[in-house]
Amino acid sequence: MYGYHGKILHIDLKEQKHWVEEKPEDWYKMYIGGVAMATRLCWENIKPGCDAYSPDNPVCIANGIFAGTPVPVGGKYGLASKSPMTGFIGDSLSGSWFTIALKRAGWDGVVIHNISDNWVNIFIDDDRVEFRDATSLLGKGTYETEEAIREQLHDDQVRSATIGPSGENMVRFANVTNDGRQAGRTGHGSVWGSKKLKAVSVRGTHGIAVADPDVLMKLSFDITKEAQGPHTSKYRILGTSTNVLNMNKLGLLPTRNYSEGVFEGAEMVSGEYLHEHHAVKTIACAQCPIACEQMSMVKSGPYEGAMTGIEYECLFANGPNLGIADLNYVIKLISIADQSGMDAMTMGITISWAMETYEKKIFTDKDFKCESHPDGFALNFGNGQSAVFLAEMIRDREGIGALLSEGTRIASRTIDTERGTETWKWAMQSKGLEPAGYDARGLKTFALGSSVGTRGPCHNRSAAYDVDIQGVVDRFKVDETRGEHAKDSEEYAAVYDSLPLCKFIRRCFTGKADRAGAWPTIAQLINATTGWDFKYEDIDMIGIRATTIKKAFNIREGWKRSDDSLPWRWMHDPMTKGPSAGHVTTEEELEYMKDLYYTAKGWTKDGLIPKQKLIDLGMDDVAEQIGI
Amino acid sequence: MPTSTSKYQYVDCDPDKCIGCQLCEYVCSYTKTGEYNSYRSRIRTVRVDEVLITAIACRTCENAPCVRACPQDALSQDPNTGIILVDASKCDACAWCVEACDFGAISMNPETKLAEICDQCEDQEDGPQCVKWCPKEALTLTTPDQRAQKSRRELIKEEIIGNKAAG
Amino acid sequence: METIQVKVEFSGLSRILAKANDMQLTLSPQQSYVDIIRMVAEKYPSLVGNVIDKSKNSLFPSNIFSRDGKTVVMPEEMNNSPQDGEVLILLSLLAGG
Repeated sequence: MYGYHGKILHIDLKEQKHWVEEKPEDWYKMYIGGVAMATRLCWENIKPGCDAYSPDNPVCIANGIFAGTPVPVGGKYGLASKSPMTGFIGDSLSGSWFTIALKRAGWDGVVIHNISDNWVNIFIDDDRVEFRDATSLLGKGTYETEEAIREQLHDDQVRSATIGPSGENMVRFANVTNDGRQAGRTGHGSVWGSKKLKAVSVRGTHGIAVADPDVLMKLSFDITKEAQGPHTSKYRILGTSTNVLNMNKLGLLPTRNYSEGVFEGAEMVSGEYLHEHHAVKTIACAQCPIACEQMSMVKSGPYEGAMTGIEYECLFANGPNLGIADLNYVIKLISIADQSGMDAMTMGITISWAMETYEKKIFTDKDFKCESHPDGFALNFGNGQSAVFLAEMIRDREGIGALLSEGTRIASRTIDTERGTETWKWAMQSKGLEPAGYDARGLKTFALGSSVGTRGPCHNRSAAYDVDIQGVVDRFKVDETRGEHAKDSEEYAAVYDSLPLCKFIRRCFTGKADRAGAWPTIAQLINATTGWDFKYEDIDMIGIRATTIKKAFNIREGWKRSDDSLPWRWMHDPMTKGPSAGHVTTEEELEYMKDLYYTAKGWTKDGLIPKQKLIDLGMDDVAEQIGI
Repeated sequence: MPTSTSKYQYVDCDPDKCIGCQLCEYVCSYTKTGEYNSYRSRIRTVRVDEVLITAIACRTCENAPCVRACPQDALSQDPNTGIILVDASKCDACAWCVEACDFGAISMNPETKLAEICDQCEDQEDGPQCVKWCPKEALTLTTPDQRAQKSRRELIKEEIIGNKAAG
Repeated sequence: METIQVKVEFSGLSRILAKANDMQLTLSPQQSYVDIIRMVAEKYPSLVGNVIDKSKNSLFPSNIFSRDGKTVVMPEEMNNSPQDGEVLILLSLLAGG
């Protein structure tokens, strides 16, 4: 078999043993890699209904079909577990060297079972598995841990996926980091923390061969050159932070806990400003010829030296969303999140919830007391210094930081129960996960995509904001086309997420990013790697199966139609300023759009999946368990 | 530090342009072995502190220390190109050459039990494949003198013209 | 002769390449969005090939004109004329990260 080794590595943390599961080629043809394969592994290995922190919730890593080859941007892997934030599938993608090391070690996937008695660093050394004592690594930051492991093992080629102090402390929204990139959202870091799993390290020394190297080399070379041109200029020069002013001009930039969509300080926290005043270097993930990661640094003041890669999503969450117009604070906040290994988006949106709660006088200074501030401190919007103190308290679970480390859903419910308040109304979450940097009040199709998303309201998985922003539909209205649009964009995104390929390459195949422009080249790449004969329709199927297995997982974990919802603010509290002011998605509109979406997917009115549909997709075992 | 002559070319990497993508490693190993494997690449990237990144391949030192160090006389240096040649019949993988190389540009193949060193893809029509592929044009086939000229030209552009434009 | 005023605002990539925040244009009432593109390309040739298509008749893929942030000038509207006082924001769209 080319492109795969035919082997999944299973590891039991408690018994400290490992075994190999062989998978047939047909299985790989269905799930390919990344998010789809990781979810499928989770489906196969989880005990349904278990608690996310129990021994029965597996950690599932799925490699990429193109990992370790020169196929541009193919160095990505998928990570899935049951999410402790949503109770549904927590599927994430990360990239870079860890993926490639795993591929060279001979593994298509890894499933980690059970809970370790002591803190452990798994070391996968080609086909050997070592359970290393991780005590000396505890308390180390994410990048720090990687370097420490490399030193311990005397090999620069050892790559590690790690959790930082936040994961060790069980911050619910902690994430997993490798090579400076994050498998973010949904709380993987706390799942690993619950297993006392500090890091998974890999060394792979074998070569990777493909079925048709001449074709693969030619295609890869051409795409690599194309990736230096205008189709990627905005990524290379500014990175994703270019979205700050874009969204501000459309009135969609989440400001002060999503209360408005325009931020008066947007220029000062824009990608342009970042580029001019804080840029250090633009670097790439392994196997990526684009290079979009804008490494940025605080160059003066109390946080001088703080440096990390800045993306739009972390920027909005810790800048405009907190009312902060000073990038020095924003970079510092994001670097706290990155070093300690917690999700910068959830962190920012939880802090903004706390800020609004303070502004509404439900929280007072005293609520924020801690060792360094025995009288607490003020947490008004725009107070960057306080935001930094609070981020550290969350990381350490100190004082109220412990409550906030649970994320907005649990934090708001707890406060409302204790104090008889209604802070849940401004807790920006759906299914327990906080949304992304696009205010859905001005994006009706995206509102639908956010509500039905299997991992929660995610722009990356839904991608439905595209038709709204491009003007293909009226973004302020609802009509009968929205179900199809939300389904199409979701399945399109799922293809990239399940190969995986980074979506930033999408225009570099033929100049057009739509299915007709991308699928033929993707089919060629798959066939040159594996020797298969995939056609256009087969690429479509990748996206359909990926979204279906994720939905099936959720159904088995107890999903119901009412779980597909939106944050209260997006349904009841219109913006008052800017081009997107005055709109919400009403209950009626949402239910109507959900009907359209379920119909488009071929599901029942309750959003459940007919047995035959699953059988037609080749998912017989899924049909048996949850098919209607 | 060994001396280098102005006549031998070598593959050089500009750390300001290098993004750490490692495509050079995959392409080099593929060219030599038909498989993608960083361990089998003759050019190796190195990354420190997240932003310091560069790639290193054989520097074709004059009077190469690796050649002098080899106890089996398995290494020789082409007098015209400076490229180091490994005689497979003599090399016994003792790794003294690895010790002698200050640049870390030599690796040992555990399967063939031979030293592996960049040979600038002498057998390829379009020359060093890593240079051909590098997406950011960070790699060049250059001589020390040409490299120094480039630095001087860039210096003048940045410091003198750059300042004039700003002021 | 009657003229209309239109402002084109640059954002993101267009701003960096043009090294300007915006551009005021004076048009005759018959001129269309295509003419606006040509006028911008004339003044800021650095945008051609990146934000403006090489033909200078249309925008490069994934770039749009947003009217005041509310509606988008669609491809089929490019031959229409703008209103007096319209603000066109030149946006380079991308998937977030």
